[in-house]
Amino acid sequence: MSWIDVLRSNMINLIPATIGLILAVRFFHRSRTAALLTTLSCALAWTTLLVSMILRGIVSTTFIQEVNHDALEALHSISLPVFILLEGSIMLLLVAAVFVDRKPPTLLAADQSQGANISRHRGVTTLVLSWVFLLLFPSFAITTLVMGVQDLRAIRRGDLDSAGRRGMIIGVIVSAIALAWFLIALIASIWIARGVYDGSIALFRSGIY
Amino acid sequence: MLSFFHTLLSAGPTFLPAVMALIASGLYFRRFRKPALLMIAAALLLWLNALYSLSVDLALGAGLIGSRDPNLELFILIDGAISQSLTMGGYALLICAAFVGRGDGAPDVGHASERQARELVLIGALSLLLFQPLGIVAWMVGARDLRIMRGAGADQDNRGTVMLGMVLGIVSVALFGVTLVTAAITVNVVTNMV
Repeated sequence: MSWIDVLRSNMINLIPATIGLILAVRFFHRSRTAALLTTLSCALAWTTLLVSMILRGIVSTTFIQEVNHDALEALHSISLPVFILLEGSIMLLLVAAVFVDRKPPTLLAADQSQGANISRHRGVTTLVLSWVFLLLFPSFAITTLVMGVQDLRAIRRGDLDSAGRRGMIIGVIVSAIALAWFLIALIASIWIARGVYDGSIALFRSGIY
Repeated sequence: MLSFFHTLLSAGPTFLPAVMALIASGLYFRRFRKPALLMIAAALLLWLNALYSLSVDLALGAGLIGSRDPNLELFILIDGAISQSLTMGGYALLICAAFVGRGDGAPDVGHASERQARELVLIGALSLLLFQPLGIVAWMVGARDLRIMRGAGADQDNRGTVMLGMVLGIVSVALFGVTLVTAAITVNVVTNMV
């Protein structure tokens, strides 16, 4: 693997990292925490490139490849958690940056016309999204489940219009079914994949492949 | 068995943040719809990437795609393109979500106040001492503030402090660049020597 290949394989980090830095600088005075979190994640993306380059250099050293196989294996087993940690941190920092330090928007005109501080319900949104997630992406039902539970609590507190209560309850139930379906499918997939994996390895070793 | 769990583990960096992104989207969907929707889209891409990588790793591990396959190079090319596009899309959407709707509040004053100027120096110093890539923010924000200060009628009180933060940022970035080049040269030299 040449230096160009290392750079090319890190493009997935470098291009968004550069965009992130530009945005962080632009919004630094308006939303400092988000800008700092984004900058930190971008800096970690650059660090990933540095680590990749160093590892590439070490692995390409013929001394390690030819003489010390154990060292090469140890290097591989160390590098995996390092990359997992770096990639995971980049993502988590960005996820944290999305909602940090946001000011809640003022009430919509339609909400204000209702008089009090009661917001309009989102029963239809929850219901439609939960069905879409059940049919297409069951794992995403976690979003509608959280939304529905939060809105039901808001109705109990009197902060939200109670007209959409029934839709929300159905949405929550559909989301829970979708999540349960996803978990069962996930466990089954892992079980089947492990069986296929082990079976193929056994066949491969016995010379059938 | 160990390789199988290695494969599962390697999907973790995209899988777990995607779950957290979905929960956060659900929590804030009512108040901040645009960032929540962008975050759901990002989670979708990251999730697809995790599933795709997992499938490819399993296929490779099980020997379904072998090193003697005549189309192996084409496969590697397409595999890289798919994986990179999905991850890059996820990153880009998350970055957009972090800043979308941020301009709706109080207007940007443009240049730094005294407190912000001191914070800029702090960021510059921290980047120099701890994490040099961070210096790029001190550099860019400092340069932007100084450019605004040069405008007619702008407040010049914190000019020196902003300048100091910017210089610290430049030094940090320069040091990081030198580190990168030195690391590359050292590795090259060691490789050639051996």
